[in-house]
Amino acid sequence: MSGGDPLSGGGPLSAQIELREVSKSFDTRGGGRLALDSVSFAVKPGETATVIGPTGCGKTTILNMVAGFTHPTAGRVLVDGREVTEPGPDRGFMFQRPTLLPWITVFDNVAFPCRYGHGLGRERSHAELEEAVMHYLDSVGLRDARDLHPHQMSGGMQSRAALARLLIAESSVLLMDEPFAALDAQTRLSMQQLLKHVVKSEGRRTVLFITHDVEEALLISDHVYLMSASPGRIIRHVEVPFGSREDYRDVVLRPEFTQLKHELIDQLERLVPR
Amino acid sequence: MSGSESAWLRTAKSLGWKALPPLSVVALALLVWEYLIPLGIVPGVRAEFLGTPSGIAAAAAELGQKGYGGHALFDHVRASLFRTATGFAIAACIGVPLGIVLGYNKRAGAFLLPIFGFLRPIPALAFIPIVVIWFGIGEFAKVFVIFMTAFLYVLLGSVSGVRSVPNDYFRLSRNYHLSTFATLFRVVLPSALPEIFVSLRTAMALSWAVVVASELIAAQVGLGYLIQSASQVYAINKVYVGVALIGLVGVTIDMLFLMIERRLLHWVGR
Repeated sequence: MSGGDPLSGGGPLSAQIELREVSKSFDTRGGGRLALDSVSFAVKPGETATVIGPTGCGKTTILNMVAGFTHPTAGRVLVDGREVTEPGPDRGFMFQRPTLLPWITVFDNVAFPCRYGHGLGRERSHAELEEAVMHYLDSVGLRDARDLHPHQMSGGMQSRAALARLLIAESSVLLMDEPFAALDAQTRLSMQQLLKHVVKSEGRRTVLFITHDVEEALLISDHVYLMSASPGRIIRHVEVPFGSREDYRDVVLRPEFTQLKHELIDQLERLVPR
Repeated sequence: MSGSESAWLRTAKSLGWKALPPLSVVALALLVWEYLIPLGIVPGVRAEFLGTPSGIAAAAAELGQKGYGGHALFDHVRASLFRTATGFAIAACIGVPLGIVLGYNKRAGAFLLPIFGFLRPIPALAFIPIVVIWFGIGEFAKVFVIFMTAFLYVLLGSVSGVRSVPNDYFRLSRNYHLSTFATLFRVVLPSALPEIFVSLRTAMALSWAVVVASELIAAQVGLGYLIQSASQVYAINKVYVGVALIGLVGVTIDMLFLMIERRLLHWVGR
């Protein structure tokens, strides 16, 4: 463990997700538009990091690059020390909408990655798969909903089912693209607590979360990265002293929480052009 | 139970009251048709060419008993149905898979779709003379015209169905490394199925319309032949019966498709 050169790929695992001076430009009619400008940060195994920023700051682009759906124009995106070249089941992705398949039941939706996916680690027998599906349905509180179709469930339940489908693939990295943004406040809060609880109790998932909700970021994360808009740059890194560890009811009562929240909201507001 | 019974009765009664006004209009129209129109009150048309309700009833009875042109009435229906079903089935069997492939594979689609897009808006009737020159006036020509009509519709409907599959479904498939086979059959096909089914239903309705048109030109049996042939001897009441049968069969086929659709696509529209 020399721990020396941070640029030597494949070295000892200090970070599970790492972005090194990542830039991304998109082709437009007037030439290239720089969307991300030299973004660097790292997420350690078992940690939850959240990127917040105004609309159009490129936070979803960051997530898509870690997922392998798109690639950086410059710089490197590493997961487990290896450069990301394509999507893979080692990195589960939770979309903005639940994206459940409406023609199959909740059970079949949750089983879907294991039934038809490849490279998810060990093969599960029929009985093992059934057990795993029920385990994750249980952990998101949907045990009784196994035979429902997505259209028979509320938005919150669909979101829970999508979370169970994300968890069952045993991906060590979870990439979450504003997954709770469309939910009502009450449901969003309970989804945040559920995610926090599951991640904490399993203790082996690394989460990269995208949101524009400061409170959400502070309630679930160990690290928060604040981005500016066009081109997107990381302008602040906050190590959250309470976020992922404590119950939200205790957290929201803390003066530090309130102060940090208002600081970040103020900073975000200044970034948005009026 | 008496409560629900009286509710049922009330519904029946209110339906009865609702049906009364339109029914009375229909009854009045039938009376006018039966007794006033034969007196020659419609200018420009000879009264006997307009037929009468009692004449239509008699024509229907006669067609049912004796058939027409040496074929039983049912044989005419069956002939038209058989041509439609054959042309439609071949079109669906080729059109749906080809449409899915061309929708899924952008490069293959770019080669072929503009051609099909050009052919589709041409009315099938315009093809009939060409097809008659190519294949003569036999069974094959009629089935071919129906095939052409249904095929282009089904093909382009399937392409459009595949193209409207949400991008996140494809990302989900890529994320878990689904095989192309699983992506097509577990994600793309079910997602595109509602739109494919709409195109099948439309294609079927069009096929039924086209079969009648193609039988008008040259056929010895079929509903199109029946109305064409009856009109040549001014048997107007038989023509009416033939036209009504065409409508009846068309509605029945459409209802059949709707029934299958509701069963098969249980998640749609919820």
